[in-house]
Amino acid sequence: MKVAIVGRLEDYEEDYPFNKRYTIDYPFREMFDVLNILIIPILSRINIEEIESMCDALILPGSAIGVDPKYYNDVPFPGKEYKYDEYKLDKEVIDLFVKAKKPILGICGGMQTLNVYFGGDLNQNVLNHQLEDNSKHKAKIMQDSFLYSVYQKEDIEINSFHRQAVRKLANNFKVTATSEDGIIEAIEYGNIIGVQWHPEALKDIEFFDKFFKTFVK
Amino acid sequence: MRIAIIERLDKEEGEAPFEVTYYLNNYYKEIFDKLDILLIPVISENRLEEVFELCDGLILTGGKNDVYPKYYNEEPIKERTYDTFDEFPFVKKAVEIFNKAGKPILGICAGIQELNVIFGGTLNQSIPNHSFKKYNIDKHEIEIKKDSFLYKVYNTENMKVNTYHSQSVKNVAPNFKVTAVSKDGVIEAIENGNIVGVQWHPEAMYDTKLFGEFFKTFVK
Repeated sequence: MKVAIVGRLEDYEEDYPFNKRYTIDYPFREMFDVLNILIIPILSRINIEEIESMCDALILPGSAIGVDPKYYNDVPFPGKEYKYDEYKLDKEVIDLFVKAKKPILGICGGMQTLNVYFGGDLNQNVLNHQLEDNSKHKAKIMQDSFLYSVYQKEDIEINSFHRQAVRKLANNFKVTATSEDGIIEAIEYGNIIGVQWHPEALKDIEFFDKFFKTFVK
Repeated sequence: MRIAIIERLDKEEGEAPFEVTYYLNNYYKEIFDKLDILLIPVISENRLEEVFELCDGLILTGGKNDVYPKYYNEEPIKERTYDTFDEFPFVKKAVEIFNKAGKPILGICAGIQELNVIFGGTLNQSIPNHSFKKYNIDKHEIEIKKDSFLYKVYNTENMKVNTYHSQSVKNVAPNFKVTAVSKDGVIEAIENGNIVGVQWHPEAMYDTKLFGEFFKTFVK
């Protein structure tokens, strides 16, 4: 199996002139080695059709930047800067994988991208969802969801590193997990799944394994 | 055409759980967009053979993690510690797979150093005056040998390049020839057929010509 992952832009000013980079977080490599899945990172729209045809699924990972609110007809929250536009490439890649009916997993910022892509919008200023590494909060999972098939229970604990969240839910999607303070923690629509937490940072191999086993044809 | 490119590891302290990342500089994206070549970034040694099947050539990018001297049978010099990621076994495996089938390999900065060690050469562990921080303003002169791939690209014996390194090629690997040197005698390029290493960063100079010519010349 091969899985495409969109690289995320980061600016490491102290490394100038090598500051602007596409990044993939290390835990993805660790987990995908265990699952024996080849990761194909995406950086550019050049020839992404070839990547779509060779890959079985797409992952939109978390982003340090976020979706520019112009894409859901809103303005930036005061003080929030959207330095690079990652949405354009995300959108083209999603187009291709949706057309091919291949599964898509959005993680944190990637879930927000999916929600915007399918017509929803975002809350740009969520409080109390920036936890320390290894801290967790509770979330409630809806029965009859992909997530329930993974965890087989309604109450789970997840990490949390985000300032934005799903506000208006995208058309056709259902909310399949919420936090105790009412933040949408997961959305699903068939083989398109978004989670607001970072399962890769929890080394939640079971989650990824189940995703591919359930949805990759 | 598809080209495999090694992503490098870096660690940003205090960013846990996101502190360790694989990265590729934006320069490569921009250059390969211009050349209309699909880059396949490589982050794992798992299933490298499949990456090889998909790709026509390999690029070793520059990185922050020096080759441990044990790989060329030397001890670390006393002013130098090697406590960063050891990327050498992964890079070596990729080079061996591509080299076995005669596919071209281009090594940049740390990449030339890795190529030299993989094919049996050694490195200077600390050289002065080769790390210029003023981006593309501070350059130094190098001399290019005629009858080399580099001469074919630039058509000149003297050119200026950027420089961001603290190690360099010492004993050149067997069968390689030195095809560029700086005025202070540092080896700036080595070549052996379709395996080429350069000590500077052509990507940071947006040197599309070097990359374009490399693949045009060597990809069958």
